[in-house]
This record gives sequence, C-alpha cells and structure tokens, in this order.
Amino acid sequence: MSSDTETLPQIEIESATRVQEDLDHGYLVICWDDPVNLMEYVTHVFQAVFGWNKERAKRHMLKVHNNGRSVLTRESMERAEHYVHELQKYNLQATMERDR
Amino acid sequence: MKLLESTEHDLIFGMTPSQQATFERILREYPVNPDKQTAISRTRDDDELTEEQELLEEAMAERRTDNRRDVRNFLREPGRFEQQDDEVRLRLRRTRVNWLLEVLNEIRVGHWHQLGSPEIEETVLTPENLEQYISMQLSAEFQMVLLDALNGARE
Repeated sequence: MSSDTETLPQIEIESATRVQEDLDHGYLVICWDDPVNLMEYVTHVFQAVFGWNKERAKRHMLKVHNNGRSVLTRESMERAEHYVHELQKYNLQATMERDR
Repeated sequence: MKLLESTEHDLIFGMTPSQQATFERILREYPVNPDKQTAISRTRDDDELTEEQELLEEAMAERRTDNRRDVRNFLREPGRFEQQDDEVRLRLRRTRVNWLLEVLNEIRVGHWHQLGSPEIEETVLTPENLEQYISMQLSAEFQMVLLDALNGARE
C-alpha cells in the first residue's frame, strides 16, 4: 500500500506539469506554401475548416502565397492536432509547431 | 462543365458526354499516391509528437479508404448523370461539393507528387509523364468549376 500511495501522486504531478506546459506554450497551426494547391481552393478550405469569412480566409491564403507560410491559429495541443488533421485531409501542407 | 442551376440544397451542372467521360475517368484514378508521407510538424524533436504523428497517418489512411469507397458509390449511384438531349446533367448536394473538391484535389496533388513536386509551369513534359500532367490539370479545371459555383452561390 505504501508504494502505491507514493507512486500515484508522482504520476499526477508529472501529468499536471505536462498539461500546464501545453497550456503555457500552446501550438501554432501553420499552413505552408506549395506550388500545387489552387489559391481559390486554399481560401475555400480555410473558410470550411475555421468558419472564417472570405476576406479573412483570403488574407491568410495570400500570406501563405507571399511569405511561404501563415500562422492560422494558436491552440492547445489537442485543438491544434484537430486542425492539422482537418487541413491535411484537404491536402494542405499544415503542421503544428510548439510556440516556444 | 458549367453550373446550370443553384437551388437551396443542390447545384446542377451541365456537361458534354465527353466531359462526363473525362470527369469519371479522373475520379476513378483516386487515390493517386496513397503512400504519400504526411508530417504533423516540421520542427519536432524525435520524441515529441510521436503519438500525434502516428494518429495523423492512421487518420489519413482511414480517410483514403473511406473516400475510395465513396467515390465508387458516387459514380455508381443511379441518376447521378442524367442525359438531356445532347447534354449530361450532374446534380450535386451542396454538402457533396466540398467532398468532391477534396477528392479532386487529392488526385491533383497525388499526380504532382508523382511528377516530382515541380513548380507547375516548370514541369518538364515527356511522353511518359504527359498523361499524368494532363490529369493533374484537368482535376484543377473541375475544381475551379466547383469553386466558382460555390462562390457564386455564396454571394
């Protein structure tokens, strides 16, 4: 019994620390430029995935096109992962990067 | 292929029989490059996001399996293409247009990868890759018709 009571709190502390670190830093969801995805298509995907209006979606699309990338949002690990899955489902080059 | 009518739930397109044949041929190519690598992050350390990387690969593989089945069903569905005089009509639920865009784009991107991921205008054409290049560009043509239809319907 004593060994159990010593181990469990340690796990909780480690887990809590990781959650806290994830919240502190967060993850940036980034879309990277490529020569193949049509500009209109990228705009459409941003609207579909984030529910943005056309103007906002287009602004990010142009940022990707002109600067090579655009930071689309900053999220917890779980939400960032969700967005990366959604964007990659549409074949956009999207990744999540730790906001250091 | 062009938009003929836009209703609350449907978009109706008109095309020639030859365009229909091309449209079906392109869709049957799905998936073009099923083993394509996907990366969850460009800067991750070896031990970071490993589980997330695996989940992404699994999700993409499942998505391709579902899409492959859905493309087959889409093309087989009775009444999908309706002959009217010398024109063929394609009726799409609005919710389906988004899916079709995704599929056409994956076909385009798959061909592009197999062509060596070139800048589109700088693609070196050879007798061996010409067909692939044409499929890539035709996918884009169909995508643009769908995107224009959606944009027109949104405005």
